[in-house]
Amino acid sequence: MESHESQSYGALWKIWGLLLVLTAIMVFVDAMGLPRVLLLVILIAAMLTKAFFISSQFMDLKHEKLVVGISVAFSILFFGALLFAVIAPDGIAVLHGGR
Amino acid sequence: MSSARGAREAPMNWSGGVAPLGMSWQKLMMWIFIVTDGLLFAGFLAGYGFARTGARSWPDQQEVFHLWFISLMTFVLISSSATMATGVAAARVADWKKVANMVLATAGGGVSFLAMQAYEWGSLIRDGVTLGTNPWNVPAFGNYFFLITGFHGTHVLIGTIVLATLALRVRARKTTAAGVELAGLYWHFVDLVWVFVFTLFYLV
Repeated sequence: MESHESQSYGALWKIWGLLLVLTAIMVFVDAMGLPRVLLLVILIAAMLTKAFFISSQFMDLKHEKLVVGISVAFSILFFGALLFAVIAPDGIAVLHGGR
Repeated sequence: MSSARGAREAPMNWSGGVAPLGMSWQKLMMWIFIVTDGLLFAGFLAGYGFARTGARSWPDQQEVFHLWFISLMTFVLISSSATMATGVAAARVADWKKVANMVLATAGGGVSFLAMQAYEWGSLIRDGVTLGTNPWNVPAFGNYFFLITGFHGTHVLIGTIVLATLALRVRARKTTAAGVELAGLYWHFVDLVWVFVFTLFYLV
C-alpha cells in the first residue's frame, strides 16, 4: 500500500456530515422556486463541491500525485462538459424544428 | 551480497514499472477503470441533457418523485461511503475487526439502497412509466430514467457483492489493506456518480 498518513475516523465523519448538509441545502433550494438560472448555478456548485470532497477525502485523491488527480478530475469533468456542450445545442435545434 | 540486495530494492525506488505514478498497478488500473466508467456515465448524462433541451416539456420532478425518499436514498449511499472510508482507514492500521464491521455496514447500505430503488421503480411502473410510455407523454423521460438509474443500480449491485465477499475475506484474514482500499475506491465512485445523477436527474 502506498505510504500516506492514515486519516482519523473523526475527520471522515465530519466530511460525511458536510455532504449531508450540502444535500439538505440542495433539496431545500430546489423546493424554494428560485429563478431557473440561479437554481442551476447553486445546484451545480453544490454538486461539484460534494464531488470534490468525495474524491479528495474519501477516495484519497489528495494523497496521490498531482498528475493523477488532475488526470482523473480533468478527463471526466472536461470531456463530460464537452459532450454536453456539443450535444445540447442539437437538442435546442430539434426543439425549434431546425437542423 | 549487497549488490544482490540492491538489485532487489532497485525496482521499489523506480517510479516506473513496479509503482507507476507512485501507486500499485492494481490501484492504477482501478483509477483507469473509474475514468472510463465515469466517461460512460458522462455520455449518458450528456444524452439526457440533449433529450431535456430538445423536449417541449419535461415532467416536473417534484410531482413525479418523492424527493424526501430520493434524499433518503442519497443519505444511505453517502453514509455507506463514510463507513467504507472508515474501513479503509482501519485497514491501514490493521484493525481488522473494525474493517470487517465497516465493510459489512457498507454492504448493508448497498442492499438498503437497492431495496429502495426497487421500491421506487415499482412505484413508477405502477404509475404507468415504462421505457416507451408514461403519463406525461415524454417517452425520453422513461428511457433515460431506467437507463441511468438502472446502470447505476447495477454498479451498486456489483459493489454490494464485492463488499460482501470482501467482508468474508477480511474475517478469514485473506485480504490485505490494499485490497480493502481498491474495493473502497470502487464504492466511493458509485457514490460519486450518484451525486451527479441525483442533482442532474432528480433536482435540475
